[in-house]
Amino acid sequence: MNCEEFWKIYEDSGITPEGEDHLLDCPGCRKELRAEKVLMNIVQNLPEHEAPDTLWARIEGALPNKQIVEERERPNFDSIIHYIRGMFTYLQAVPFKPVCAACVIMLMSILATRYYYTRPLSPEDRLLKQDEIAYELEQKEQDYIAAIDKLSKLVENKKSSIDPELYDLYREKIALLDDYILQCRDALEQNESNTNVRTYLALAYKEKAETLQEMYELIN
Amino acid sequence: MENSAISQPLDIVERCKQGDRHSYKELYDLCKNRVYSTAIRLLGNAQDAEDAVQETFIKVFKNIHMFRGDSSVFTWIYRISVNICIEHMRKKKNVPYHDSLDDTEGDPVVVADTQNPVTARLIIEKEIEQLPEGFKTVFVLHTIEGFKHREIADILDISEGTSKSQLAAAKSRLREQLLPYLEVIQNEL
Repeated sequence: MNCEEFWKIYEDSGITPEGEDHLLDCPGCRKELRAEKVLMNIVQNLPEHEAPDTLWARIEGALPNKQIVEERERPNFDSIIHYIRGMFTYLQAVPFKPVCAACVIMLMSILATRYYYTRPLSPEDRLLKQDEIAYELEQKEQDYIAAIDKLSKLVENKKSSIDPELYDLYREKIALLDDYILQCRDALEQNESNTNVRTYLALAYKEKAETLQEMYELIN
Repeated sequence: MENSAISQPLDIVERCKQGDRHSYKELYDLCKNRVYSTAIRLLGNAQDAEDAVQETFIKVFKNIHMFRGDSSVFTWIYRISVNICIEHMRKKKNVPYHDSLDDTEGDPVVVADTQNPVTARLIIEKEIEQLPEGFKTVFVLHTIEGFKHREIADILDISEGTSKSQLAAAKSRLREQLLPYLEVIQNEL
């Protein structure tokens, strides 16, 4: 082992048995080893230098507020994460469960109402709906017929008070309406559930009642 | 001093990322003496060391949002610190950084007067200061500051093998410089 090999092994593994043999034969390496031990002894006990107290003021003074804010506000992944965390922190202060439950109930109510009015009707529902409309129209027909009967009697009693030509025009209109009403009734005998015909019939009754009302007002 | 013995204050770093000035001071207080000691040993005087420490922490706080936690925050700060010191050394000497063993050529070697009554510590510190840049940096980080070769390789962006060989060369140089004073120093010790 030569001196170079001794120091190479010494740096990696310290003094090996072969290294001890080399030291016995090499006064130069023995002296250098003494220097090594002195060096390590002193170096490992060197005191740590203390940074001057004034140094922080220098550093702080060299960090303008604006610059720090700009760095902080620069959009980056960390700032986004921080922002999201901040949002969650804010939400923690909200009574989250009751608010959430109220929102869900409101949303379900809106959806249910919308569905009820726009839902496709089943055949049974459709028949029920038609019967409902037919019943309502029939009730209106009965009301108009009652009003027509009452007004017809009143007008008939005082028809001499109306201008004869005007009376004839009114009679002609009522005759046309009666004819129309008869046609509608014939159609309904063919199909009682035809709500369209029933609607036209109700409108014809309404028109006849209003015409008789006009005649009655002329008399009075 | 064993670097790995220091725990990583991730909470302080997180607060620093949010721009908390008090946390800046906390982080500074945690590593100011070590950064300053390293700087003073690498640069050789207090004024340059203070400038380097100031520059280091300004850079640290401006770039704290870029610290991802891949390494210890101390390793990250010392990497910045050592690189700033190396830049200062280059400016002073106006020579590039070498990591080869041949960078001892041309460096001035100050030989102390063996007749003067000097202490052992001052001799060593003077000799360290006179080491070539590459040797000095690895020697200070490993032997004095307690960094491992893996950490030094990370800080200086060199291989572990280069770190080891530079340390061996630095110690060899220091031993050689110490030999004339060995008797005096041993008497002091």
